[in-house]
Amino acid sequence: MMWIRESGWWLGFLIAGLVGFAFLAIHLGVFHLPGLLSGRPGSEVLSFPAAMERARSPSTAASYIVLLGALLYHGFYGLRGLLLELFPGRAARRAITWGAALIGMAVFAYGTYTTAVAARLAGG
Amino acid sequence: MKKRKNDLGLWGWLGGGRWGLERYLYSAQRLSGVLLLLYLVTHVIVSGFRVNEPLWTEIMGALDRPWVHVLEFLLLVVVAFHGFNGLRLVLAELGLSLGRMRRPVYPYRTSLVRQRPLTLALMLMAVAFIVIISIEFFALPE
Repeated sequence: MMWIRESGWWLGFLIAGLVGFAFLAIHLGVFHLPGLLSGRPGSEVLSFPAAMERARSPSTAASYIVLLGALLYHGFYGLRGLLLELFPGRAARRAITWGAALIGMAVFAYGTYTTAVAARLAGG
Repeated sequence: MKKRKNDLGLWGWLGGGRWGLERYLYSAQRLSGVLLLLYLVTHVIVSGFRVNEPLWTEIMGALDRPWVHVLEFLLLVVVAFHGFNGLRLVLAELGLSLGRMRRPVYPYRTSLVRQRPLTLALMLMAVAFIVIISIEFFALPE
């Protein structure tokens, strides 16, 4: 029965990959298009004032959280599948699944937290 | 659990079974995925430093080096490959590029007739992305 449940997680993996692709394209556009279009790639995009400008709008925070969730889920599910192939067995399965889930959720919590702090710092 | 006879483990990534192009693309997809996951975790931690202005300015200053830009460029190359190859895999896994079911009468018409042009198209898109990115990284004056 657990194989039937597994396919739900796997479909989520595909969807997270597609959603992550889309949001990553936007994320990369925000950081690289200004340099490309102005003809002057520079570190202005990465300066603290620019970072605060970006952090001000709630849509930035929302898009960061979606991007983070999608890519972390996609990444850790992929890593879990890879590790389960290399280390089969019931105990390994439990350890790998829980390890991936917990580390993924911890990184997600940290990323969401810093996004919220940055938004508040910027005055959003 | 007893190791099965056909369990090649990591060596299987180098081409276990049919040595088609897709096998190598898939192995590269897995490898690039692991590398990107490592980068992602690092990136989330480092960009979390934007909540502390002096720390942020110091780190961004330290990372404003040519060799860092080269590494960032390589990262985007890996992202492009993983992303576009991933699109190919999603299409393949959901059966959208397999073609109509037909009788296996010689000469056999396999799904590769549709899949290979799709693979080429997606990889060309990845190359186009990389060309645009390399313009920003290397061709524009600082």
